[in-house]
Amino acid sequence: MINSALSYSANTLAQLQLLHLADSALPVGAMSHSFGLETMVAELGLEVADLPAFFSDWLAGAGTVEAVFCMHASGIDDADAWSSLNAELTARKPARESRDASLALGRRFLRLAASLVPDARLLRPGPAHFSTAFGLVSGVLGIERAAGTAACLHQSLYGAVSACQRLLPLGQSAASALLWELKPRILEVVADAADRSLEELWNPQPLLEMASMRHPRLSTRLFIS
Amino acid sequence: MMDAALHLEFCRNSHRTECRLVQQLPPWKVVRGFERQDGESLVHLGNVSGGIFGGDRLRLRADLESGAHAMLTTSGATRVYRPRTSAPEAVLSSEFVLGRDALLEYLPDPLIPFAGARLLQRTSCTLECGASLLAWDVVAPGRSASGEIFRYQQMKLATEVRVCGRPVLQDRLLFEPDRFRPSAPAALGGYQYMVTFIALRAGASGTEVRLLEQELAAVTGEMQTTENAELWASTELPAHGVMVRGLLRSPLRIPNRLHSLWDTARRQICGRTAALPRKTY
Repeated sequence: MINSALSYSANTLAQLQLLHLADSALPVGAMSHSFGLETMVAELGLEVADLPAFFSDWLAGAGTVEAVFCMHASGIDDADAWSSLNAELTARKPARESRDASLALGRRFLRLAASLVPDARLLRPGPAHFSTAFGLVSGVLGIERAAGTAACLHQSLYGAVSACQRLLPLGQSAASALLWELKPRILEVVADAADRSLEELWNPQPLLEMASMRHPRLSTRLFIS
Repeated sequence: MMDAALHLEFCRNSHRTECRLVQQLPPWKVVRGFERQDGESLVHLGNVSGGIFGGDRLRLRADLESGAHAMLTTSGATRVYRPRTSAPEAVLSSEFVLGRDALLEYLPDPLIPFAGARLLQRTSCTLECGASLLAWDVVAPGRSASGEIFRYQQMKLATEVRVCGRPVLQDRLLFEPDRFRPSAPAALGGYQYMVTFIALRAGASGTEVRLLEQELAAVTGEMQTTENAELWASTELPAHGVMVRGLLRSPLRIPNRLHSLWDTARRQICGRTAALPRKTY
C-alpha cells in the first residue's frame, strides 16, 4: 500500500546512502581529531567569537582543497590515477599529524564502505584521504558530484565544530547555529570547486598548519591530531 | 614588463663543482661565483633592475648534475614593486633539478612586497636518489621601516618538491590582506615575517627523517621567547625530509635563526657545518 501511494525519484536510495555516510556517528574515528584546532585554542588564542570568520576562511582554503580532491576522486576509474591523486593530496599536507589523520579517516571510511557496497573500486590498495575516499564512494554509489562533495565538507566541518565544543565554551545551540549559518558557504565553495584545477588551490591559513605541527608537543592533549 | 631568464648548470669535475651559464637574459644576472673550500660552487644572483615590476616574468633554472654541490644566494632582498593597475601579476619562477647525490643549498634574501604588489612565486625542486636540498624562504610584510605593512594586494607562494617523480611537498600559501585578514588567528595571528626552511635527502630512511625533525625541533624550541615574539613549528614531510616554519614580529633575529636551522640540518645531512656565503648581512 505504502509503495503504491508514494513515488520515489530514481536517486532516493542514493540520497539515503549519502545521509548514512555523512552521519557524524559513522564509526571512522573523526571525533578523535582536531586537525590543529586544539593547538589553536591552547596556544594561539582562538576564541568562540573568532569561529565564524575562522571557518569561513577554512572553507575558502583547506575546504576548497578537500572539495576539489573529492570531486576529482568521484570520477576516477583508474587505479594509477587514484594513487596519484592521493599522493598529490598527501604532499599538500605538510603537517604530519593532520596528514596522518586524513589518511587514517580515509582508510577507515573506505574499508567501511567496501564492507557495505560490493564494488572492486573500493578495494584499491594504497593510501586514501578522507575527502578522496568520500568522493570515490559517492561516485560508486551514483551520488551527484556536488551533493557528495557538499556532504563531505559538511562532515569535515561538523567534526571541527564538534572539536571546538570540547575545547571552547561553545554550547550545543551555538554550535548548531554556527553550522547552520555555514551551509550556504559550503555550497558556494562546492560551486567554486567544480571549475578549479589543482593548480588553483591555495591555503590562506598557514598558522592552522603550524598549529598542527606543534600539536605533538602540547603538554595536555584531548585529540590525536 | 620583463621576461627574464637565467639558466645555470653545475657539474662535478674531480673534487670540485663547476658552474656553466646556459642562458642569461637581463635583469637576471650572475653577480659573482666562488669556489668554496669543500669544492662547492657558490653563486650570487642579482636582479640588475633592482626588483620585480608588475607583469615581470623571471625564470631561474639550475640543473645540478650527478654529485654536483652548489649554493645559490642573492645579492640583496627581492623587492616586488607596486604595479600599474592594468599589469598582470608578476611571476618569479625558480626550477631546480638535482641529479643523483647532488646537493643544492638555496639561500635567497627576503622577499619584500611593496604596497599594491601582486606576485606568484613558484619554486620547484626535483631530486633524484641521494640528492639533498637545503632551502629557505623569508617573506616580509612590506616596507616595515616606513610603516608599510600588509599593503600588498596578493602574494601566492608555491613550493613544490618531487623525489624520483613522486610529490613530497606542495606548499601553496596565499596572502591577500584585503580578503584574508593577516592578523586572524589562523592566518598570521599578529606576526609579520614568515620563514620557511626545508631540508631533504632523497632516500633518507624514516628513522633519519625523524631524528632530523627532533634535532630541528630542539633548535626551534630554544628559539621560543617568553614574550611571544616568535613562533616556530617543525614537521616530518611524507618522506625524505623536514619542513620548519617560523613567524616573527621582527626581522632582527631571522639571519641568526636561519643559520642555526641550516647548520643543524647540514651536519645531519652532509656531515659538515654551515658557513654563511661571503656577503654582507
